[in-house]
Amino acid sequence: MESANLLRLIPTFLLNNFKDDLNDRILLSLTSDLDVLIESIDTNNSFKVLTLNESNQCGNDSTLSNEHDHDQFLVEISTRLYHIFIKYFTELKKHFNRIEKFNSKCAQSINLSDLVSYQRSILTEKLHHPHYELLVFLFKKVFDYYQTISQDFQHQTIADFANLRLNHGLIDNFLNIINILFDLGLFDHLCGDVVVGVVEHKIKLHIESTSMENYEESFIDSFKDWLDRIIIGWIRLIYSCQSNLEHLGDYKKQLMHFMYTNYAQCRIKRLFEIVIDFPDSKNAVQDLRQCLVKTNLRSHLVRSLRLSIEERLLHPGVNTSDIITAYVSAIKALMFLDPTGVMMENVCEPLKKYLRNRDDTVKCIVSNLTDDSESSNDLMEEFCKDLYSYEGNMDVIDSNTADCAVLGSKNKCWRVWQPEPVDSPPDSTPDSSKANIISMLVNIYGSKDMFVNEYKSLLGDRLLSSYSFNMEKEIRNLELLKLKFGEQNLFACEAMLKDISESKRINANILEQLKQHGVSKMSDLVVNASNLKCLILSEQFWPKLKEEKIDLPSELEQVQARFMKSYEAFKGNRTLVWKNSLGLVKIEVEIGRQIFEFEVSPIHVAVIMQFQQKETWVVSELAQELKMCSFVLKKKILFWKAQGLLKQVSNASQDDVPNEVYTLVKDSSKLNKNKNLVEIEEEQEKTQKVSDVLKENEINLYWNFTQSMLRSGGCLPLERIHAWLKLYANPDLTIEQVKFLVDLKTKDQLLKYNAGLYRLNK
Amino acid sequence: MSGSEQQVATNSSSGKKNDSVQTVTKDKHSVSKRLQQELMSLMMSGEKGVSAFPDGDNLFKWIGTIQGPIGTVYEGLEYRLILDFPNGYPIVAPKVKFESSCFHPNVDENGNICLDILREKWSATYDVLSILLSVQSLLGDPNIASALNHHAADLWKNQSLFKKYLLDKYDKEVRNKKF
Repeated sequence: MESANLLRLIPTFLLNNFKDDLNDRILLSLTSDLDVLIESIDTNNSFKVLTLNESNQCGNDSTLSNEHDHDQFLVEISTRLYHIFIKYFTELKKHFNRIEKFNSKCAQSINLSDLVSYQRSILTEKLHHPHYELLVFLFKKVFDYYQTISQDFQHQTIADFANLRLNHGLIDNFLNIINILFDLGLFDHLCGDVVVGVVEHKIKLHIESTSMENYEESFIDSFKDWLDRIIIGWIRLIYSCQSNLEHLGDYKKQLMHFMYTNYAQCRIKRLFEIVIDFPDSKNAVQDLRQCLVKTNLRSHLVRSLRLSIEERLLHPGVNTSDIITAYVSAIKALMFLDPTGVMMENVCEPLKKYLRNRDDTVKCIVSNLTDDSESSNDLMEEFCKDLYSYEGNMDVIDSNTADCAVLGSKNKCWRVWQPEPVDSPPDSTPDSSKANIISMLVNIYGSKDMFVNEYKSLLGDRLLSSYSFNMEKEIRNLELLKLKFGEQNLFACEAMLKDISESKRINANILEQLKQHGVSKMSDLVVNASNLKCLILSEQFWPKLKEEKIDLPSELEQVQARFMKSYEAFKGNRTLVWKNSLGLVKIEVEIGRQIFEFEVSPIHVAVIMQFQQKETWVVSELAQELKMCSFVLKKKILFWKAQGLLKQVSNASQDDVPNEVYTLVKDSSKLNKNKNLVEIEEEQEKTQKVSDVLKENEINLYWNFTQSMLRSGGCLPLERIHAWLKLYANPDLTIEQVKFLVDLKTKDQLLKYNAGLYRLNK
Repeated sequence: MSGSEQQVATNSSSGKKNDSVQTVTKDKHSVSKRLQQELMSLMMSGEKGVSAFPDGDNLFKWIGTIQGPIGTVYEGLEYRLILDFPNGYPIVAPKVKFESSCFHPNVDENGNICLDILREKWSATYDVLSILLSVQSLLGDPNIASALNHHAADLWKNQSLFKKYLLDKYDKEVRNKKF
């Protein structure tokens, strides 16, 4: 019992003895001395404290002297710190030695080997935050200094370091301090964190300052070189007095990883810009690709890019065509970043979803694909390129053959096969379709039918409303599309184009026939190829055409009838249905011996010809004569008014359209030669496109919806009706189509329109 | 209209009934799918005398209209109904009541309807169209035995008196309130 007690007593006594010793004498004065040093730096709020010379104040502007002072000051600090360390740490050293000696003496009875490390801990505990700050400060400053001088020196051997110490007082002092710490075994305790922390901070700063704004250069090699030269050199310098350098390799690996992570994060922060600039920012993406292999930032990248896309792109303020452009460059950039396409799919999911909800997406894509008059024909290029690269297996689109093709290519290169990345979504598509930007765009809707339909109506619009289309270009486009979508799907479009060229032939044929029958003139019209051109459309293949009922002037009708007769004779059991609202008529108007030429639609001709017989018309009477609605007629009259051929005579109030009176202008000098007005009119015409017209059965269904809606809700604005039809009936319905529907029903007196609201007419 | 208030009320009541949030959302999804289908088939049917449409964006509350059956005292009159679909629809019957006041033996002053298929005889095979048609036929063919409005039940025997009273009431309470 007694001996055991005694044994237990000894260490306590010893411990107290050593502890008090350390606390009282060394530590207190050490910390207070350090505090004095820190204070002298802080209070003056500048680095020139210790070298207060008067000349400094007037030389403030001169950076050179400042720099010099700065260095001077650092040397001063490090010297003082060195002296403090020397003073106390030699005592500490003695102290440690005493413990160790004692320890070795009574090693048998009590093991005091922990005591030294205990004392070290006491020391580190006594040092406060400001003392560490001082260390960090010192390390940073010396690092900066080192970086500036390291440009012109090779630091590979011990001799080099010795040289360095000789030439630079600061480095010498610094290394002396470190030596003392190493000597006491305190370096890792005190400075381990500081070394790493400072170095990491410097790496971060370096990466951000050099690469943040620059997407066009590759930095990864220069960073590697910099890390190798400066950072590793620096660490080697710190540990130069140690013989044991084996953990230097670990440091290097760790810092390399740190650099990759930081650089990747820096790039990810600006990834949206990088993606948008893609072909120019290829080097940045290339760098990021290298970094991603070495870090685990994939999911962070996907998340952050999705977020910035959603914030910056997917809101109503951005044009659909811009979103599509961004989508294309995102596909390109991300496919380059991750050739498996998984990342691209993950990132672009919200983009795709958003584009699906935009009304004009298909239109934008199709017109981008086929219209190279616009400046942004990236897509067009992409499209052609894409097709030529697929020349070998053209019918990839067909799902069966596509599978075979994929299987074939997989069989060929099974040796280099790699599994899809872990974050690939379960329903990911096979590689072949991902590589193809056009397919990606088409797949926004999940089917190519939508595309083909949209293309068809665009083509129809182009062929029928602007007569200046380029046939060769259209055929080329169609051929390209056929390669892409398969011939069957575009059969109707082909038929449309064929109709156009066929028409020319039939036209010539019929004219020839007429000539043979001795018909050289049909009601004042000389029959020849430049005077009479008909487009003969096969109804089955064309989109639904706008129907506008007009009675043409008898002169025109005679020509039509004659032509139709010849056609029927020529084509056997087929006949023609004239679409009077389409087409162009060249007319000459003779006013006061002057002749003016116009190229206008048949309906305009019908209007103006009425004025030939009677010079003044009331709108309502003229409307009756022509069997059209007064309001539509008013629009046509306005065209002639803009031309200066007609003028309004009565001063009827603005809303009283049917009672307005117009008369023919006989003074030719007042004619308006301004062609711009004509274009305005034409643009107005175009707003009601062929594609805005609904089919009969669709009209009935949507009309039922609208009726029920109005019955339950009373009266509603157009936007509301559109929103609900979209919600409950068909999400793809456009507001133009709804407008068409309600206009139709208002015309039929089934709806009443008042103050922006529609209601049922009961 | 007080559409938004009513919407809030229905939402909170449906929340109370179901304990687990998850089942509610799951149910809601399948129910709204069914309601969407019913709406589409109702529209396709093109039935003339009755109609219904969701009240705003809330698919779980519809406003219906029925026209008084031809050849009855109700001919020429139009009534509005509120159809509230619970989350358990179509297993659970929807709540149907008149929005406009309706003078009828089987309709009380709050618009509640006494109709067997809306209560004990409800079956999941019924849909909105069959409900609307049933209520329409109830107008011309009331069940005097289980009357909610005894005044109307008493008056029913004398059709001409009933009609006069009905039209007076309709003019006062329905027509004048309209929009």
